[in-house]
Amino acid sequence: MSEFVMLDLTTPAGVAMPAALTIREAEKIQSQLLQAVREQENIVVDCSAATDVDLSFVQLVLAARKSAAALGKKLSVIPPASSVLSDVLWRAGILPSASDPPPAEQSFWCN
Amino acid sequence: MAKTILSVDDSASMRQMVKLTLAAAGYDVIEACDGNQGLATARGRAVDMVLTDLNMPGMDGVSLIRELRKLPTYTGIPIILLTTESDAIRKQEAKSAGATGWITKPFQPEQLVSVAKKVIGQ
Amino acid sequence: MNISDPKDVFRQEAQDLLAQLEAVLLDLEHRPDDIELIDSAFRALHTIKGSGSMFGFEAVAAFTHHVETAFDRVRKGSVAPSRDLIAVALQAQDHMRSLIDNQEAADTRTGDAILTALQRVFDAPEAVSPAAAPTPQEATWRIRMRLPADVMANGTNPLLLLDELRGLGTATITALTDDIPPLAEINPTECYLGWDVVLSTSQPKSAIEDVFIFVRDEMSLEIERLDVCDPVPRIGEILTDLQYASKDAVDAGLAQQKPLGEILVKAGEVSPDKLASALAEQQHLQRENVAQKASTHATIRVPAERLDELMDRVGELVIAQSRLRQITKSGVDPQATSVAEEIERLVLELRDTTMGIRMVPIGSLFGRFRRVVHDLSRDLGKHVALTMEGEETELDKTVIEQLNDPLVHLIRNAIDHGIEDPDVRAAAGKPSEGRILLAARHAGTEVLITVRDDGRGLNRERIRARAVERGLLPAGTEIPDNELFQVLFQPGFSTAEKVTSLSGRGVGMDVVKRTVEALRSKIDIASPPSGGTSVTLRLPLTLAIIDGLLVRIGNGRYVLPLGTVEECVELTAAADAQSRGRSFLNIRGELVPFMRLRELFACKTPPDEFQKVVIVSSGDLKVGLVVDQVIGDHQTVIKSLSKLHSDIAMFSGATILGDGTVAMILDVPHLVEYGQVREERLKAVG
Repeated sequence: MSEFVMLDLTTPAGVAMPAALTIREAEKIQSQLLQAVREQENIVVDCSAATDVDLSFVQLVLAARKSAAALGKKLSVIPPASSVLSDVLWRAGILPSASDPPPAEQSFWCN
Repeated sequence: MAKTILSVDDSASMRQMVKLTLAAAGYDVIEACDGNQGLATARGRAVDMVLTDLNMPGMDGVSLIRELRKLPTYTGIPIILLTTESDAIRKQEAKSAGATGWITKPFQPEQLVSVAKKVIGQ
Repeated sequence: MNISDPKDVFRQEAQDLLAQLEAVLLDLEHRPDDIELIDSAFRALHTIKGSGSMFGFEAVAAFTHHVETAFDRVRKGSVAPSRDLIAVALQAQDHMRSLIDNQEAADTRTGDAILTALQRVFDAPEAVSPAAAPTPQEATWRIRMRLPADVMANGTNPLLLLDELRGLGTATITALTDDIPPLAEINPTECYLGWDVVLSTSQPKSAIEDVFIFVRDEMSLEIERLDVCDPVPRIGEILTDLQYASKDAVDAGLAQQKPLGEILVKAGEVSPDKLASALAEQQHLQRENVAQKASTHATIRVPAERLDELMDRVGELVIAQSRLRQITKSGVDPQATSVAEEIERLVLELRDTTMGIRMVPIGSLFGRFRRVVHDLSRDLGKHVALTMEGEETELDKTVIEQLNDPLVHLIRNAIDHGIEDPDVRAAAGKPSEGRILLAARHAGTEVLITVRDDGRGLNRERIRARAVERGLLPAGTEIPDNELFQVLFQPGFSTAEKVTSLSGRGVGMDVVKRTVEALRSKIDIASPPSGGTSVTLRLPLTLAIIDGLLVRIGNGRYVLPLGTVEECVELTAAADAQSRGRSFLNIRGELVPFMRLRELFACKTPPDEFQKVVIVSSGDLKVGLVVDQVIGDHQTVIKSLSKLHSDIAMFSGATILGDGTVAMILDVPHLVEYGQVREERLKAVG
């Protein structure tokens, strides 16, 4: 008898963010995120490709998380391998420090 | 990678001083000799910061700032203007048009570097 | 359990505060712009006033209140701390001290006089501070920034502003995200974030304002100075101060048992970000607190008796442990031996640690002398600068207290006789300000404390002449400086041409010498070629433990302090033959009298065949002590003698040896004195 392999179709697909996540791309990213929040149950903001991040992106993610929560949905972030995102987060006073693990409310930044 | 500064000034000597000072501090400097040329250059490429004089023939500084702010690629890019002490009204106009900061003439070359560091870092 | 009298507790704490206040006032003279010092003085006065009235010290509280008011004006910048103000403040501090010691006895007229003087200082034109405010030293600020919506679109990067603030000092930054709208409504290029920053910096407030120079007009910016006090404010206080929670909400929350923050957030009274901001402020203040304390040597107060008790226990443990070692040395039970070895290691470490607790940095002692130098130089019309080296050098507390008097005397001498009048110095090409150096350092098992001045130095010729005159020195002898200068310790010796009210009578130096010897220490005097005079005290690290030479006389064992022992020689049969009359030994040409301790202690047992002589010194006298056997070096804890025996001057204490027997510690100066007296008597008899 052959074995069946179950495909897990409930794994959330990440919303792939572009490399540039600055104020100049903010409108586009807002649309992307709006769509994801509308359509997905579990929103994963995939920033693996990010090379340039500024405060406007952080604001959008926070706004998206608020909206998701209002709909009873979860939102988390896949951080880039480099520190471009975490640098912005601790410089902005959102994460307490560059090296320590974040407190519970902010842990979604590291998925 | 070095940050790029667009220097717009109708005075050749001023452009030269700006270029020498900022290049020595590690910035790449491209030049335009008036507002129109500045806008044309900006349409063609992105830079990290714009430094412009206020009084120029053709398109003056305030208009340049206004036009630059219309370009989607220039949202959030710092624009610094060079202004004289007495130009309080024009300075205010420039701010309303979207200027980020200013340097008052006459100034020490080092001030260029400290302002650049302040608004774009490095 | 001892219940301390609250009045005594207040007295103790007030004395500490007054000592601190004195140090601060003396520092303030050199750094009148130091805001930290002014704050520190104000706080000390404020605390004394408050506690004073609480514990019934009305007079102190009332008097201090006026001084505190004066310092408040200095603190607010309306008056600068001038030399006159500080001099009056020091007098006020003395008066406060006397009020605390005995409220009734203190003279109210003194107090009134001081307050009048204080008033006069304020009214004097120079007391008004110049237009420029004093430059601030390290201060902590609360910064609340709310940028305009279009700030980012117009090219300002708030992250760079925050980076600049960080660059000014130590910053704790909390972002406030409460105003971020839902994703569908947010304008992606607008800024909805606000920030609360707590910044500790030595830069002035203007440096903080400069960060925002391009956005100042359009933003909301509040910069407030925060007090780093101990303890830090409670979270409820901070929340209400920031106006992030109403007082009612806080009070209601406090009534419940859970952490206040949790309650308030749950009740919707404060947003998580705002709570985070208040917590961040509290944590920042706490860290600053710790940093401040660390830099001022945070200590824990322990009653001295407890420390003594601890030392006693440890001492007994050391003794018991050495007995254990003796017993297990035979190695019959290897397990016991190895445990005994481990115990030995632990006990010795414990002894070292405990001795370490009793060690106090000498800086605490040196600090007191600043006032002495300040007052003395004023009284004598001389300019003297006091410098200190090695204040961190630690000494056992039993030693430090006893050093106060001798050191004060040496300093007095230096200022009175050593350092010349300013014009004399100027004429000699010296700076008009004389220098006194107090230095301390460890050297092997000793601590060296030096008092050096750059004054006129010691006049060898005059001293030699005077010594010969008084028969202390045979004329025409060549002796090294250090020995020559030892004559200065003879009672009544003085080369001073005039006797001042302070010194010159020659009374002080022999007292110094005696105190120093009681501390089992030595004192060296030198007059280096570079000028001035240098007096060095050589002290043992601790008086509780003795390095001794163990000797046997008859059946008893005795300890001689190693510091007094010069050498040991054998008593040859020839010298021994002179068993009656005066006994002298010829040690390399020097005649040294000797005493048979067997006789002194009336030993009945037969003497050892070859007697030994331990040559000891006391002051400049040398005596040989004849004993049956010299056993060897022995380091041990000194136990004091009970009341029954403590009157016996020959013994300065006792110690318990490894085998459990008791060895008496011989008091060498007394032995030597006794020997001398006996010698005189025998001489008289002929």
